[in-house]
Amino acid sequence: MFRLAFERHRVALFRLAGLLSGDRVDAEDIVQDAFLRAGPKLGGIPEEEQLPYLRTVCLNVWRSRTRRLAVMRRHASKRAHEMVMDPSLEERDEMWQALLRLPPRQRACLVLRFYEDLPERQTAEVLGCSVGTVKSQTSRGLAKLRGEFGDGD
Amino acid sequence: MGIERQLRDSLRRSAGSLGEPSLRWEAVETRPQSAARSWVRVSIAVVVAFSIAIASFVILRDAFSRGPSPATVAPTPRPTDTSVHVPFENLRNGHLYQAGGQAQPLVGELSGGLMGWVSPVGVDSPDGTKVAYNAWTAVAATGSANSIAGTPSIRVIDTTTSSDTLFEEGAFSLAWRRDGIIAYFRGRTKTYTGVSPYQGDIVVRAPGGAETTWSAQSDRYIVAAWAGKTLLAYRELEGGHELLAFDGPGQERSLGTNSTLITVSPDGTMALVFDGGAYPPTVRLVDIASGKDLGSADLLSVGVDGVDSIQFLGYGGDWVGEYAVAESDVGLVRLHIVGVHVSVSDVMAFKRSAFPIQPHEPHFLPGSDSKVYAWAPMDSGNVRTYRYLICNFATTSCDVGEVDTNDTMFAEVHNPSRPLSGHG
Repeated sequence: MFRLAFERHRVALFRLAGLLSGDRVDAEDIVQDAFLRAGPKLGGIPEEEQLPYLRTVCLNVWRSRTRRLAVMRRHASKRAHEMVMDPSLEERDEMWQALLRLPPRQRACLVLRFYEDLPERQTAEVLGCSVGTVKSQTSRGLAKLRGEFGDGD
Repeated sequence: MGIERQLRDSLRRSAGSLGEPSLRWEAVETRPQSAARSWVRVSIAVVVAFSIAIASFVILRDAFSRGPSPATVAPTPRPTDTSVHVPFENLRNGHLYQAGGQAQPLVGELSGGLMGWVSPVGVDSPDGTKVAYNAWTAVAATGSANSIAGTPSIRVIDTTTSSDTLFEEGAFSLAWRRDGIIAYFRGRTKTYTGVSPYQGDIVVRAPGGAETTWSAQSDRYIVAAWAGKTLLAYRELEGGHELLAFDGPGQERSLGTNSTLITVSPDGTMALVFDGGAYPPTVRLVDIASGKDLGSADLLSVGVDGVDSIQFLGYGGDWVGEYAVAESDVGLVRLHIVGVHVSVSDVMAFKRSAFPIQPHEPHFLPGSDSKVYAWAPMDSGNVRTYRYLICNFATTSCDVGEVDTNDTMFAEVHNPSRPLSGHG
């Protein structure tokens, strides 16, 4: 049932959305919108495919919100940016902060590859792009992080 | 590979620091359109601030108007008496509260998650002396961090002796017939885990204890209500459900995919069913014996000022005489049933500033086909409170009180089976 899918996946989707947006409130909005959009279609989707489907919807919701926020920032500059910052997360992990400064597509590739542990092919399916794009975006994202934090070890 | 490992560790830590969402099921269940959640948050803040200002008990008047195209009028809260208890039988704060206010502690932990809002959490016996309720005992989850595990159970309180006894472990959702027969879902295992389908059977138990399995095969079922001697239940499908009628062991009929039982007629021969999977959204009057549609009403044809239309009617309604009442996405809806003709009679379209989540489980007050009681959750951040309502369709007014609970769970006790008295 739709409710069961909601109870099962809401936390996982919230964390995915939170990692992408860097904002708890935004993440809740994203997950809520994703369930509202996905709800009518979940009936025809096998149980094991519901999470991948919901993940894709979440990514789409996040990307459209990111575009909208970018427009807002252009028009309202600092004020709009302040609106979307979650003060409770100000002391967040430095690596995550650096990740949030990456362009959205690089950020999405890194979160899907290194948090969700999706293979390149599945990452490409979720993002609606080619495997080559996933490879290049992941590589560029990692290069930027490497430039900031070194290569560890 | 160093940066990859650093990134992976960082993302795991950061995801954990996000904690759990406060987002609740009702936020995605009750809103048919993708309105912004921020709007709901602002509404909640306004309501909470207003509630604090006017004390914990208010009267809402003129919250709606009547007629074929009812208007939505801003409610006007007014302070009133704070000493009134919730005036209907309910489960909260780890207690059963009877309509008169007497409280009895529950042995089990109240639970409604597995019923998916299509079957009551608490069901009173037809003779009014007992209350069966759904309970849950959590067990340590294994595997995925998001998995849940526990043992659902049905317990029965005898209000005459104050006893609270286990009816069945590994079971949930029940329907209590007027002759004392109880139908319920019993899992093949006692423990439910969120990572695999919880399959089992529909079992019918006579008062003496004799049991019969009515489901032809194990599946995921939710028991809803008796309509005469026909049992209404749901089979859970992937992302949906099917409303079923069981005439006896293995005698199963389908009453519709993604159809939801609203209420059974007082004599148990008909049922009002909402078809959520259909367009336009429709309420059907179904003949229980044949399964045929006797009449229907297109909900989109009902204009509601300030709201596009009714998109959803929910479980937990009631039917008295020629009128039925149901929860909906816009508020409380009264339906008029004359013969086999069904139509929308009145709509109490509450503004979301008053009720971000529309009231649930409306039932007529005894002896009335116009006065109803219901309840509504109110969320503010991670804090959930509840309001109860006594509304009158005839005078277009509602009394609204705040439920004295900090519990995460509130449930009305009611028995949707019909008939509940008489012979035959």
